[in-house]
Amino acid sequence: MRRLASGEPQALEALYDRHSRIVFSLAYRIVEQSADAEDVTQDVFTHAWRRADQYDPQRGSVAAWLLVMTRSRALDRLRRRRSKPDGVGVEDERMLPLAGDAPDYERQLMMHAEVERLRTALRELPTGEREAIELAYYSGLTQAEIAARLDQPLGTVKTRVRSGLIRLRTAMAGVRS
Amino acid sequence: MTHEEWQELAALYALDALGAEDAGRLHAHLQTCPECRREMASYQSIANALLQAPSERTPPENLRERVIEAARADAGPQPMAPPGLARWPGSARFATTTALLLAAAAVVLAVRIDSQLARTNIALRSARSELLRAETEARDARDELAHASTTLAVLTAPDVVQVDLKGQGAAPTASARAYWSRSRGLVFNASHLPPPPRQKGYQLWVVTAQAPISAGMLQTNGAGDAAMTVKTPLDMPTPVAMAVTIEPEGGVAAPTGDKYLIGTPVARH
Repeated sequence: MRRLASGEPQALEALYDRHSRIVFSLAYRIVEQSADAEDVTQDVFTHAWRRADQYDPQRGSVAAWLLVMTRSRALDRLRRRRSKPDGVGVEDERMLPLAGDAPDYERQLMMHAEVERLRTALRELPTGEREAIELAYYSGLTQAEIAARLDQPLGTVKTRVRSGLIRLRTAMAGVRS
Repeated sequence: MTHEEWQELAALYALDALGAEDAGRLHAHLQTCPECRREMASYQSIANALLQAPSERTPPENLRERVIEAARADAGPQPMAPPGLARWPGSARFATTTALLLAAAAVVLAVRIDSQLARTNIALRSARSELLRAETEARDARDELAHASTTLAVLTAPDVVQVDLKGQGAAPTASARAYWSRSRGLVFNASHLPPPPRQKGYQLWVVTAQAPISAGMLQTNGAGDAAMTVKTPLDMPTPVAMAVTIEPEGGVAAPTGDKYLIGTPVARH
């Protein structure tokens, strides 16, 4: 990152070679089409190149920084796309994790085995829990929008999101300890 | 509300699916509840892990060239911007999670990274963050000094007016106090404002009989406190009230968003 911040072109190439796959995969999962996922990926790396000084090593790995940025930009694109066809822009009143309680990208990248374990755990969640978590995190819906989409009471959505996260946490607990 | 209900909100918050009002209430609860804070930290840790969960796809071959060209066409990295450290105060409360992550990170480093490179990087990182910290501290000290001397001038001004602001629906526990002197300016201090929604910020308004005048955007710290000192025009009409509203990040010409704080001048004695 130091090299990136000082503007060495090889540093950007190295960064891209190392992380483009996870960035592109996350972007694709959110925008669900290749052209947009490519644009998001380009956007993320160009931004990382331009604003390498915003990366704070105290807060986590470079890859995690890129992933946090990827999710936010991919969701922006998704929301723009969603609000376009019918011309109805939905006011986004959600909170970003902010000062004080934001571990943000504190975590290091997971190793392959750990990623596989998380994927399996996610696949094996009760359908309702998995859908609620995915609609929130990968589709950027609010709790009310999720309830409407799944045709479930808000209370059910709340309970499912929490119990789903707890199940994932339990599944992951063995790996990290 | 039970802890379980708070934790349901925490789970939604970790996934970015909680509305501003609920998030404000949750934030206030977390200030006083270590148990829910721990739960929240673990949900956020899972949320971060989920960034890596989507199945892997290889980006198209030509994207690499596109990215590198786009970056070259750009001006290149911009000069070092002021560090954002002040906005990201410590995650001490996440010590347990952090300890686990650090342990995992140690393994990753040992196994995967060439150790010499790792040592160099760590030294660089720590030197850089030391520098950022020192710069931040110096700037904070200078700002505090300027803030303190303006505050003193306003408080001791013969024409000082006091305004106490009360938290509204979205932020019932927030409060603020302002002192205004036509000749010396405005001093404003707020406490317990919830974190603003994404891409939004708090804007301070001096409401006059003619129209509300913007006094600028407030910067809140992790505890939701904000302080501001501004010069006001000598010919500004006397304020009849002050308010803080939630607005787009860059601020707006006239208030549009929800009011978080409102107050009128305290009668002079």
